[in-house]
Amino acid sequence: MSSPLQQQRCANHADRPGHAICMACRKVVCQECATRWDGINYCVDCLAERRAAAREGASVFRWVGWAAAVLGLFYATSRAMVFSAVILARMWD
Amino acid sequence: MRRDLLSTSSILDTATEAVSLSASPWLGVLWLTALPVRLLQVHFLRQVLALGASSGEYGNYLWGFSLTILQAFLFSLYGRAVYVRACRLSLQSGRAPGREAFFVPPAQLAGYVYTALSIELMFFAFLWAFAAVPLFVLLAGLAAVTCHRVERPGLLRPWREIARSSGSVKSLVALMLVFGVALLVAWVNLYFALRAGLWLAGGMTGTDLAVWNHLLRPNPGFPIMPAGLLPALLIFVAASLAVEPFWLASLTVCEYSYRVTETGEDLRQWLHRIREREA
Repeated sequence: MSSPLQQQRCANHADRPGHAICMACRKVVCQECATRWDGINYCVDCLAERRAAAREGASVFRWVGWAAAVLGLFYATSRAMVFSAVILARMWD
Repeated sequence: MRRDLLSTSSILDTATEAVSLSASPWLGVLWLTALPVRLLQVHFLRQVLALGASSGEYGNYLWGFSLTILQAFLFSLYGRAVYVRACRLSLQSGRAPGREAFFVPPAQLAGYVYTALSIELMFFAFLWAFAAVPLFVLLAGLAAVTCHRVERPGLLRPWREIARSSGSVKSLVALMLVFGVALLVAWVNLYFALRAGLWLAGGMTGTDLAVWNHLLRPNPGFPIMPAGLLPALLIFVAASLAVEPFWLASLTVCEYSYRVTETGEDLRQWLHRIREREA
C-alpha cells in the first residue's frame, strides 16, 4: 500500500514517486533529490541556497544592523522595566 | 496510525528523557546563568514595592538597576541557548551531548538575543495587563528553541521561525497549562519542604531558629504560602529553576515534532520501520 506522498511525483523527476517534502519550498521530491540538513528535508535547489548562505556568512551591514537593533532594544527594555515597576508599585500601594 | 507525536503525554515523556540525558552538566549551566538575573529581579521588585507610590521619584536609580538586570539577562540567554542545544543534540543522538553543546553559532545566538530582548520589552510594556504574561513566557520559550534555525543575523527571520513553530497551538496551550500548574505545585512543595526541614532542625539542641521561623511563617489568610514577600519570591525563583529545564525540553520536543509531522518525515520513518519488519 503506497502512502499519499508516494502517490505524488517528484518535482524534478516525473517518473519517480514522492519520498519527502522540502521544508523550504514545499515541493514533493524523490529519494535522490531529498537531503536532510539538521533533521529537515530539503530539495536540491533549497539545499544549494542554504549551503551558499552558510558559506557566505553574514555581511558586515547585517551585523551592524543587528547591533543597532539590540542596543535600541536594550535601552527601550530598561525604560519599560522601570515604567512597569512604577505602575506596579502604585497598584500595590 | 495515530500521529501522536504532538500529544502532550508524548511530548512530556520525550522531554523527560532529554532532560535526564542532558542533566549533567547542562542543567548546572542553565541554573548558574539564570540565578544572577532572578535574584536581581527579586531585589528590584522588593526595592520598588518598598518605595511604593514614591518610586516614580527614583527613576534614575531604578533605571541604573534595570541596566544591571538586563546585563545579567543577556548572560542567562547564553545559558538557555546552550541548554536547548544540549537537549536537541541529546534527542537527535540518543545520548548525552559533549562539549559541542557549548558552541552555539554566533548567528543563532545573535538572533536569539534580538528576539529575547524584543519579547522582554513587550513583557514589561504589558506587565500591568497580567493576562498577557503567559503569552510572553511562551514566546520567550519558543525564541530559545527556534534560534537554531537562524543562520544569519536578521530582524525578520527569527520571528518567522517562531511563527512557523507555533503551528501546533493545541500542544503549546496544553503545555502551558501543565507547566503553569507544575510551577504552582513546585512553589507550594518547596515551601512545605523548607517548613519540614525547619521542624526537623528544631529537634537539634543548641540551634536558634527564631529568625528562620519568622521568615518562613505562613501567610494567615493563605497558609500554603509564606507571609513575607522575600521568602515567597525566593521560593518562587527556586520553583521556576526546577521547572524551567522541563519546560525548555518540552518546547524543544514540541518544535521538532511539529516540523517533522509537517514534512511527513514521521510517516516516512513509520513506513521504513514497517518495511524493515516485513523484510
